[in-house]
Amino acid sequence: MDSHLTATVPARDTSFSGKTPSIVSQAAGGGLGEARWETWSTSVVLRLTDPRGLSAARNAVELELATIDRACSRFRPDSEIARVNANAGRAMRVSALLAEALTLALRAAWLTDGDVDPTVGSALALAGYDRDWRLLEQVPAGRSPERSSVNERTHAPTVRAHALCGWRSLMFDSATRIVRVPAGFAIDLGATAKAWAADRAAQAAAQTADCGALVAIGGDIATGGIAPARGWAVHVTDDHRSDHHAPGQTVTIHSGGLATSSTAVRRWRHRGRTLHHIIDPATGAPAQSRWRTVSVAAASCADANIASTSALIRGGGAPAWLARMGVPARLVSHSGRVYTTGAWPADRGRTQIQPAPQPRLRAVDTEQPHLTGEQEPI
Amino acid sequence: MSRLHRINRWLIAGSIALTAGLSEAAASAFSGNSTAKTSATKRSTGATRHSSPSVPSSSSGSVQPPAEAPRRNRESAPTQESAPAQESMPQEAAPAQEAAPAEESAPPVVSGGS
Repeated sequence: MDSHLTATVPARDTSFSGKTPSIVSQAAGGGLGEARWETWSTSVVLRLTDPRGLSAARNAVELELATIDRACSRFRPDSEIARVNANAGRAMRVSALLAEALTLALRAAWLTDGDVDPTVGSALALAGYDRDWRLLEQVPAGRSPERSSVNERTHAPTVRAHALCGWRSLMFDSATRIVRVPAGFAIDLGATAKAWAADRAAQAAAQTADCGALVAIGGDIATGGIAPARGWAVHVTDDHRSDHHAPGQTVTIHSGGLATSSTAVRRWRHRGRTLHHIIDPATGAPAQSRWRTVSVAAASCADANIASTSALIRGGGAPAWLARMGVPARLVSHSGRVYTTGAWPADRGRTQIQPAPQPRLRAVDTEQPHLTGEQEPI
Repeated sequence: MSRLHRINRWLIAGSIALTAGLSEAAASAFSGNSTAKTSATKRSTGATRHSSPSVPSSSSGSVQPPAEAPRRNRESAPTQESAPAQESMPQEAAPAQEAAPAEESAPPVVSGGS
């Protein structure tokens, strides 16, 4: 699909993998063990029902994440997916791990009719998200993330580019693990791989420590083993970096996963526009959603994340779709009104959308969309 | 008269045989399948080992709901949802938390956009 974002031809700096030194917190209260650290430019939280296994479980989680990073990171030039993208147009055999990640990504595209599309890599790069998030955050205020100083001095040629998306054009044989990315396309597994990593890490932690485990990677939450008697308490809100006093709702889960997608975070300025990372494959540009944040609980964190991302892109059609999927969800409009579907627990004073064939959305339709000071139409 | 009858019979028999032959030839040339067979073929395509983007072989048909829905947390009161804060410019990541003193119950883990 086409997008009408204008891009220069940048010299990319992708040498930073986003790893930072970590500090561990050993106590979480309630008899739980907890470790927190930073990786992939986001936070990781590991909780165990038995603190004695914390060190070994953390090692298992870190090993899992490092393995997935080497296979799936778009920002590492030495990653397997980077090599696949660099060889677009040619067939390549990939590792079993990357094949599993690709299978999940294609399943997500299939389940969501292409809302969650792994071929949005070019669109993300075109929108300026062409490097690790920490590097993007370091761009000074008012500057575009591309090397604007170079462009300003040398008047580098500006090209009109078209972002290519289309998961159906990706050729992948799971039996032989042969993949061929069409020329001009790029794979980005960011929409599914982080949640999938949380699922794998939670299972690894639970098996290693032989107890209940919760792993949260940047707000994508997965559980493994047997949960505490009162369940795992999770506070859903706009930004995973908030504390549990931020506006939102606290719920408890006993199994599966919970994911939150939001257009209110991971925003950046690009050529005078404020953009975010949820790409609508239909336009190749950041989604213009009527929801600012969607939280979904599902049997796995990967499925929860697939549903929450798709709901953001579907906009007004999201409640009916979520109800058809049978997943409990919480949707927050730009004005802050909260809607829930399925068996999501009602919050006091909130509007609940019944899982009827035609959910009542009139209340949402009449609201004025909230625009932040710097948000502009795309 | 009897010769005419005999010729007539031969002509009828011949035309029947010719019709049968032509029908057989046409059936071979333009072979078709029954509705049931067509459906079976489609299903087997979906079950093939070779996954294509349109029909992933190792997928379930929908997003899988949780075994148990989330429950309201009894220990926390709902907080008022507000409009999102004004766009903030990029900042350094907050430092990781130091060890916290033990509490009666653990504070909830935060799930938010990232």
